Amino acid sequence: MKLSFKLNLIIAVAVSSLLFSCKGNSKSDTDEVDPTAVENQSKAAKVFYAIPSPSELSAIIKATGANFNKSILNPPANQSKYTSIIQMSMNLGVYGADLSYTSTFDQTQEAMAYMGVCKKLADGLGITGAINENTVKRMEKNLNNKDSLLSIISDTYLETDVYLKNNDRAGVSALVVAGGWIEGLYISTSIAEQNAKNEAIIKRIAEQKLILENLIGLLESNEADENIPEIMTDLKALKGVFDNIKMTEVPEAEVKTDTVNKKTVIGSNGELSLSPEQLKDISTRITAIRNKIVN
Amino acid sequence: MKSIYKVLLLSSIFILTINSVQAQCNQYAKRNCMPELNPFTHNGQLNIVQMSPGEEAELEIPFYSGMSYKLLVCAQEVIGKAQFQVYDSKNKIVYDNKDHDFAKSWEFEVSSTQKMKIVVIIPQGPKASNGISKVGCAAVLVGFKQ
Repeated sequence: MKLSFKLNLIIAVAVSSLLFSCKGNSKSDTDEVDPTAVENQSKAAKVFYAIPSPSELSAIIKATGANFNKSILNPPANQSKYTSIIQMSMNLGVYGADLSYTSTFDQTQEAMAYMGVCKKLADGLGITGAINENTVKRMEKNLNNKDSLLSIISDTYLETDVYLKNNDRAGVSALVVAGGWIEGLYISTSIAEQNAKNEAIIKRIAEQKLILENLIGLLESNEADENIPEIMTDLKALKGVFDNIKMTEVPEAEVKTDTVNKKTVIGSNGELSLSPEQLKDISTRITAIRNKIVN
Repeated sequence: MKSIYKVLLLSSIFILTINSVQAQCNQYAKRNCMPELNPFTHNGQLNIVQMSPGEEAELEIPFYSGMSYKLLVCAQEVIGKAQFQVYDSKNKIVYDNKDHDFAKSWEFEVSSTQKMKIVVIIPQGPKASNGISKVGCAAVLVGFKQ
């Protein structure tokens, strides 16, 4: 009898805590966080790592003058192959990057197909509500408005991230981010291989050195997740190639502020550049990593 | 046997309460901070931490040249106005909102792609009457546009 009472108590606490968590929508602006929950919080420095979104990279790719190339993307039909947590997480990232790429290049029908497979993978991961029927309807209504499309995609990234973090699944969130970055770099290197004269895309590939450092930091902070170590090994090997990319030295950067438009421009602290051999090496490695994820 | 149940019960309370605090912080950032990024497109990532007065948090984030960015740092009123400093890739301070009346946001561009460090500081304030430090959510959000 005592046992069932205690179990009931645990269940009651769990349910009430979950209900409390779900009440977040109705909280006022000045709500305080329950201090008892964080009394034991460490006073150690808190360091976080963030990386640019696939939408940013897609915009950067388009600005290099690259043409759209559907054949380099992961076909939506592959979605049914992904059944494990790591496959679904990483391919949600991959398809999310493909969704951003197709939307940025105004390929609306393809974008709808990629949103569809992202929804299926999100559902498979139990991420309820991040991508729902309403998201798909909003996309259909805004097919001709790229800014709205990108905003909807950003909302889905956010809802996915929030859902996973709220449910103590930050490791899965990090895998989704990793999948998105890997696909973005794969798209970039594929474009560079097809057009060696596109120096702008090669420069953008070199810059991924900075993003990769942060991605590894993000994954390391979630290393308790059993799925992280495998991808970390591959990414650390890739980092070894990026580590050989040197930055050109420049005089100290200036910071100029336009007081009328309230905008500041931070001067250059140097440029990263790639040799053809380094580009080839990165391209080969990222293709192998990406193939492991999508095949 | 009793102690096992005690441990289980306490662990459940601790884990679930921490999760609910995280959920509250996420909701706070979505409803109170994100709208202020407009007209920039949010990059889809919530960088949130629970902080007390006197604490610091750091966020490293790369920014692409060719983009315009809006950096937004907001904190719940209970912990006071957040100070934030931005350091460039050579660790030189390029912005401190303390010099701008604790403005919550800053718009900028970078001439070359670089990683920047954002340091969020919750200034020290008086302790609550019960002696426990006040705790609240602080969020760092990034919006972009071309």
